Amino acid sequence: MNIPHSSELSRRAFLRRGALAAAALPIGLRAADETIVHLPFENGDRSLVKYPQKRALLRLTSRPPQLETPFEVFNEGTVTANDAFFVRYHLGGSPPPREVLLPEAFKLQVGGKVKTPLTFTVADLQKQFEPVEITAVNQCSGNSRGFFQPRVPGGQLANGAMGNAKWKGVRLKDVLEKVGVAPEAKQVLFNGLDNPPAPKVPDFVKALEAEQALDPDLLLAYEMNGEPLPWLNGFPLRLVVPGHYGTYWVKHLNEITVVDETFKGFWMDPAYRIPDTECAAVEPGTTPKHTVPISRFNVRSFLTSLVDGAKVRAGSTVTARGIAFDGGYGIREVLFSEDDGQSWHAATLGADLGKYSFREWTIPFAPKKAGEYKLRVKASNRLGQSQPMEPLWNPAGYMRNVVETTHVTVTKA
Amino acid sequence: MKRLLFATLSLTSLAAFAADEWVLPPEQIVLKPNPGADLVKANCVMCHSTEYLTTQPLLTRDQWKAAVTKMQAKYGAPVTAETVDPLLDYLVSSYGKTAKP
Repeated sequence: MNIPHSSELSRRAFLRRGALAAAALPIGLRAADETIVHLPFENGDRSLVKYPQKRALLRLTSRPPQLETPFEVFNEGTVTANDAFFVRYHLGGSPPPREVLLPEAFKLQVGGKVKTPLTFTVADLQKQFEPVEITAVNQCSGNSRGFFQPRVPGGQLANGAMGNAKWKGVRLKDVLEKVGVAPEAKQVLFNGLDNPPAPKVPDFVKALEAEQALDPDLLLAYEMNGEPLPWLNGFPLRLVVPGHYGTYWVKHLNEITVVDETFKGFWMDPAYRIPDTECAAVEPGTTPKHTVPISRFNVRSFLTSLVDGAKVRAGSTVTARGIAFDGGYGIREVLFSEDDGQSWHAATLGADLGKYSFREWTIPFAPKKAGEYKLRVKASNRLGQSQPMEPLWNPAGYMRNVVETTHVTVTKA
Repeated sequence: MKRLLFATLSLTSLAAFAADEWVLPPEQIVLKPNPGADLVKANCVMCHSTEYLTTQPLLTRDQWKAAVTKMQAKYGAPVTAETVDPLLDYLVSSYGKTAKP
């Protein structure tokens, strides 16, 4: 384990690029570990690194792997390609090795407070239950944490720990009904094969209320965008909890346990909790009195076709395009502002891929005068929930959903 | 023999992708070479790579202390009582900010 000196580091042919250029970087560069992208916050340098089944992604950590999707990917389409989809593990022993994931080895055990505990291979699930496909966003609880002010410790992500995919699998509900959930059931626990690196490190186990686990939209997914799940996204089976943060989407899922109490494991309490307050926010720098487990996404929207620092010629017309999503009620409206939020114009919504999906939006941007523009985008959902103009704060750096601002220079015609 | 090998490879590719693809790129270990870097190697990297600390914003000594305490209490990090202060000295001098403005 060498500790390179800073002089050694500078000798390497690091390509230092600013945040502006980063968005324009071609994806899939060779010798990716020699390319550094600067995310626009303090200490935001990240290597672009190629991982198995992945194009070069922004490496947050090596062990376990945490990879962020470069933001320009979100302008490629409303469905995020498997090879660009973000990766987030918690435990140093991750990802699990090939030999425990191959069909001859991998089994899902379903037990606890059930009538008939059962074990399934992925092929068993495919044979015994109706296949279902759902398009849904997966987003890390700490997506965008790096933008929090004041800064908070944790994975320092920009906006790329999210993605939208077509998940195919079987309903968790169907499997639970087959084993027969006992009347005293209170919660259902999910455990995967990503194991702790040392005996005292708490295993990554997540809990859902029994009632929520029986929601027909929850899937045990084995396919993502028509392919088997990528290794780093949970091959061969993962839980899909549409509209809910990625922490519940347990990867390499091999154990489902019905319990008659509220689970108190580390990853439910104290980890992954939000203030029990309006919008899960507290005064910056303060500690919440009460917390609850994080659950549904709040509303977010992004401009993807123009990045910070982009130049547009006065008198020309470009299409401003982007994405919006929420916790599963569906996007009703996306508003676009060219003047930092003083006036708003309704964007046109694209194809509806379902209430859990990214929703594309477009609007012509035809600036007449040269100058600096602050473009802002604000979505609302069918419940009327929207996004705050100023960022909210909580100590864990979760659930950022401020109305985003993109600075664009309009040059003379 | 060749045919047998081919058959084995085909079976493997059914399980998502080729065997040699199940290998992660080498771990990136970069620490500022200030006094105490060896304490990070001895107490932290058995469980996680160094980016867990090197990518943090500049944290105060209290924030770094909270992180080390969490690692001890919640993750069983083998940091002894007498190691805490020298470890914090390294973290604050390398990846922290002093309490002064």
